[in-house]
Amino acid sequence: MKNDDEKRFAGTMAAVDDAILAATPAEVAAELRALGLDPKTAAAAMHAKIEAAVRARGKKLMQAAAEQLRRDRGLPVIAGDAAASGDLRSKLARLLSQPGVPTTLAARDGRTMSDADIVSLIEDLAELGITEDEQQ
Amino acid sequence: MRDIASEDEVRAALFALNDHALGWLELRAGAYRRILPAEDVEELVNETLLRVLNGCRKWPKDVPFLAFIFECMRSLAWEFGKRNRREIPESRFGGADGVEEEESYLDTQPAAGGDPEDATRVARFAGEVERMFEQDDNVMAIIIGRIEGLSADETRERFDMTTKAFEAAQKRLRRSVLAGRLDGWR
Repeated sequence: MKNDDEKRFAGTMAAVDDAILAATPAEVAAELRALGLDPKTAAAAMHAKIEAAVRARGKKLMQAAAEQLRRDRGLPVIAGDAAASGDLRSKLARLLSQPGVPTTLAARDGRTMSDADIVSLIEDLAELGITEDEQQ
Repeated sequence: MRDIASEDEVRAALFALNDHALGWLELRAGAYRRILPAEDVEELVNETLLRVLNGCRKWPKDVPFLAFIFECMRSLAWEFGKRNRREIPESRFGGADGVEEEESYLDTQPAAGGDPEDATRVARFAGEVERMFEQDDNVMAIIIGRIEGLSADETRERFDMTTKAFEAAQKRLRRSVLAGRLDGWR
């Protein structure tokens, strides 16, 4: 439950947020320049922050996955990469459906990931010893 | 039941932001510099990105993505304002290693024993905004409407404002905050 101060602050800030979102791209650029920021540089800086946050999140997921693997010694690790020519998304789905795959990774279905991201995630899984068996 | 975005969808939405959208985000961060120390604003942005990615803040997909990000930022700004943040840690995303890297910035800050001024500093900002616009009925209508949870249409109807008057009032509010007319409020 928000107290009165918080409700007042949230409402006032929401009004400011709405006012900023109502600005046209030209107005945004002008406002950024008025703050001493070059619009292109500002956009690049924000994009870099997003990339850094995504990298940090990926690293955290991998750490959690590795930790879960260490705890779960019963995981059947399957070797090989025979399905390399198969559809990447299907391969990722098969890998993630393996019993014992860390839940932090299994939740990523890959539907909105780029091919490069999927390849990267498959490589990450391989580092954890989660690959497809040649017989599968 | 609201449709909540998956982490993959949040990440895709973040990477889909074009230069204009990124400019909006940077501008919003710039406006928070009127309220919080610059170091805290950097952490506010980082913490917001972190929380939307790790699912601490869930994105209902019927809400425009930027509006959702802004909502997360103002909620976090309130939390920041309640904490004493005299020691600003290096950014978690600056290359440090270890699990602590993603530990919440707020978790690293003392929750008690801080400067009492910090507890009310952010809350006072709203009062300063209201004082600045006490003679401007339309801007006050926009603020009151938001505090009361009204939509833009509901606010216009309740306060009998034309669309043009509403937009002009939004611009005055934005310009005043961004141009630093409130810089002396502290």
